[in-house]
Amino acid sequence: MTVDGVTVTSPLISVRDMRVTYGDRLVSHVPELDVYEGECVALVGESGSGKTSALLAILGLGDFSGATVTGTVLINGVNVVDAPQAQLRRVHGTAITLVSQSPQAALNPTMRLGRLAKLSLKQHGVRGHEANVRIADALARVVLPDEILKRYPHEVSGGQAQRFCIALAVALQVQCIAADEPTSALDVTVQAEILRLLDELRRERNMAMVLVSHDLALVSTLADRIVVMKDGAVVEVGSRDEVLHSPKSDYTRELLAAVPVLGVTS
Amino acid sequence: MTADLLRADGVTLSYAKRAVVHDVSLELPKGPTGVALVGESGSGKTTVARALLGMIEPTSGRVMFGEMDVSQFSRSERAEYRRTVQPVFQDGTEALDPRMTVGKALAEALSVSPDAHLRGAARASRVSELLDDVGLDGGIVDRLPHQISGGQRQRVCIARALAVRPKVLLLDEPTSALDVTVQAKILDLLRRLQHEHSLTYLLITHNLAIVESLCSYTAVMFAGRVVEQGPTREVLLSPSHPYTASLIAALPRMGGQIPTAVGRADVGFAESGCSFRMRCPIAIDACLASPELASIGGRHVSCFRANDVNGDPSIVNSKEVTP
Repeated sequence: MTVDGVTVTSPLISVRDMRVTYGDRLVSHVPELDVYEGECVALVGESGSGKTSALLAILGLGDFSGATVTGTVLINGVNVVDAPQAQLRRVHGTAITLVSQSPQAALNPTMRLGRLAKLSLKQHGVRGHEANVRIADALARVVLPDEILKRYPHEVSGGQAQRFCIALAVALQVQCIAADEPTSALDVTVQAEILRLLDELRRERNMAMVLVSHDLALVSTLADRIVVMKDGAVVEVGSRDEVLHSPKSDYTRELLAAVPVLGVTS
Repeated sequence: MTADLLRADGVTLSYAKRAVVHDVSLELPKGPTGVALVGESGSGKTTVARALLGMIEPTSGRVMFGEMDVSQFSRSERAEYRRTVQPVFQDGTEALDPRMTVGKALAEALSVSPDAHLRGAARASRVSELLDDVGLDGGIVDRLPHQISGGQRQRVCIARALAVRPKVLLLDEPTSALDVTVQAKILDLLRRLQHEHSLTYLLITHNLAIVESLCSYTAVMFAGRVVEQGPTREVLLSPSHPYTASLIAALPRMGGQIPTAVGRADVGFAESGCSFRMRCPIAIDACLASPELASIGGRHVSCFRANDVNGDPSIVNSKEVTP
């Protein structure tokens, strides 16, 4: 698209007036949010702020927990809020995929990882030799040995399971990773590895990322833009530097002040 | 002879002949003070704490309570020791009886405390004193654990520990289930109580940034061994062991770069020689032998190359491994 002679890329994800409600209770409201290729947008906030509800709604999964979602979330031209199952499944395999907080819980415990990977690709029409090549390439990219495909989810470490989930996204060649607290169950050294990996994928493949986290320090190392949420509402949206260095809302200031910093005794 | 309240003396713990904690010595002095045990999952920090609490007996080595060996205690001595050393766990929901009101939970703790003789109004006033101490309103006594917030539950757990007038509080990840604004308030509370009641804290945490506010001394564990211990500011701000340096490099900093990953955490640890050598960016042939925990200045470090690290955490960048 060209406006006044300047090329404007259209957003990968476009959210307008998205509301998640349980009965009469509004738990998450995002008035407007666009996510572009290669961009990392973070949703931060404390428990009950509505950040995870917002992420699930963006994935088109809001109604699975009994919530009602209204508004529009356009991903590749599909409004996932009211898309039929078949269409939604296509969006999940090609445009966006979820990387969750507990990778081991996300993987079927009765299947070896190799079978899981093949099934995921088959679901999206990738079979045979093509599937094997994609899986091998993805494992190499996240630096996991091939022999991990013979293991069951409980036979690998939390960090390896999370790498495997990311490898599935790489093998599916999705345009965006939706990551819900992807490292909060991991040790800090493993967390650093996963953060590096996600950042590299973003740079190499122009992958977008919607990152949900309660950890403002973590978010500040990865995100281009930060959305601060509280009690279901967006209280501030800005570039990383704006939010960190000149926050507009009192709540953002309170959050920033509460983060403990090594070497500074409060 | 010693002013230590509680001491691990060469404690080794084995499960099925496999040692999970090797020769750990740690001193908890009289309060107000704090000692932190840090390190990744499986490094043995909770096992050491359980031994200090008397919940498990060391395979070798001793836990000393003042001048007495904990394993030699009579029944009444053991009861006294159990009162003195109180735990506060990560999750107040699991630590509290879901059917017991806050008031009942505190009354139960009082019944085994030095204040057990208090009755009626005197007991009620002790309960309100405890609630006041942790910043809770008296009206909370009729509430059940699920009817209060996570921060309030953690305050109830702290009040219940204080009810028996302990000298040592074992804090096992006391704030990791809490939101960051609530965490800041609980840390303030713990700091105030530490001074008001002259408490000694044994803090177990993976969150290095909260260590400094409560603990002046820190021990870093890796694969069941203490690899570095000393004054917190020295250990965390100018590490001498490459593992400590890699922990610090991995911390996300506000507005900073993506944290540095050193080595690959899933390579595990070496069974012989220096247990960290497989992940160590500066390992040399000498590391095939086991380094002793040697004294360097005010701290103890087990690394042949401690003098090369010498407080410079960036040494771990010298051979950064791509994740």
